[in-house]
Amino acid sequence: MRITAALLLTMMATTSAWGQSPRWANDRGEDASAEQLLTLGEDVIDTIGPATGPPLQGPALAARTEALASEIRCPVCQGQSVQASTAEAARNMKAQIEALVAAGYSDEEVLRYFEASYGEFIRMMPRAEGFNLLVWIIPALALLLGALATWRTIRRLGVEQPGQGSQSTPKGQLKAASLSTEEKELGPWIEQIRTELESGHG
Amino acid sequence: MNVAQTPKPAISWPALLVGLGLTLPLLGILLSGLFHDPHDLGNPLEDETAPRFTLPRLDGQGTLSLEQLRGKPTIINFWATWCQSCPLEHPVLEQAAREFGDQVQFVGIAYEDKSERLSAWLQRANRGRPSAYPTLIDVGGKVAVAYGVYGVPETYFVDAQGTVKHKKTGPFLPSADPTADGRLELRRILGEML
Repeated sequence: MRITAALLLTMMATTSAWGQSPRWANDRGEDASAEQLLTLGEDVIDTIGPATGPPLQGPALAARTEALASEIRCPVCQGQSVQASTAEAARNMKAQIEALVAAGYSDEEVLRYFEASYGEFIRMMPRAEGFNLLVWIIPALALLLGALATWRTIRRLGVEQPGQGSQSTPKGQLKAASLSTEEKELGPWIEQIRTELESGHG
Repeated sequence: MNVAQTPKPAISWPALLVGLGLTLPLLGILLSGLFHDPHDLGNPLEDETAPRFTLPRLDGQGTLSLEQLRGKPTIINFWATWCQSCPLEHPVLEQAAREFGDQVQFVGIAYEDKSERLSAWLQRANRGRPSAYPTLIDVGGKVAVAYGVYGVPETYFVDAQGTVKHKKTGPFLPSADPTADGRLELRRILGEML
């Protein structure tokens, strides 16, 4: 029991938040200089060719880096983007995104670079093509059909209501018939109770 | 005797078919996920040219590039001192590097680790003997990203022409069970490459 409690306390103390990387997972590698962080790997040109856009810096670079980092999955985390994660791998990847954007690569080229080594898994949102299309189409289709079914039901109920009510169905007619029989049988008794209550008896 | 007959509920066959048409594909997708190992992401680099790199050597003897390793099959092992299974895998790789060193080249790439820690760890693990293969330092993790590393250890097998032929996720662990013995698995892969 004490060991379990100690382990739990250790985990809570070393973990920044549940589901996030523990603190010891950060800052494990050698510190990279600013120059090292902004230098592109030798493989970049082989994978996505030379940059076609203008080099970027300042607030525009930061904004595009953050937007792209939100679209790229942190490979060592549980469902977190590179932008959301504090893991060292995520920070390294964000530095690479920044280096690629600063060099003039487009968003699609940056995504393609990471996809070349990690596959489509690296995209937080899979491409809407091929088999993946089912994920977009089925919920929309289900919503559309549900709305259609609701509209038809409301329309049918609206048609039945004026003058016909529930008696239009055989079940409704049966209910009405049984109520009138009960009223006939209990009528004198109800009348007697009402008279007695009014005269103060009972 | 009269038995009251309860009316059978009316089934709308078109509605049922539409419902099944929508739910069955989704169920299929969910079920396929149950049989999929979330750690197995495949290897997008298979049969592709291995990403180029030039990295500093841990032993301080300059840098080593993939270009320099061309001509012989190359085994690239991403590892770290904080990785729990790496100490168990290390003797398997050392042994293979000593045995097949004249036919293949082994290279270790340290993943998110510091030079001093790596040197001390290797000194201890090799019991003072020099390593059978060089270890490189991947500052900033660029090479790990280029190879699609998402955990350690991961081992990539690159043929003499520089094409990635195979990727092993997880360690090559020694085992008494021949079907689970990482030493035999490594020999089998090396045999296929030679």
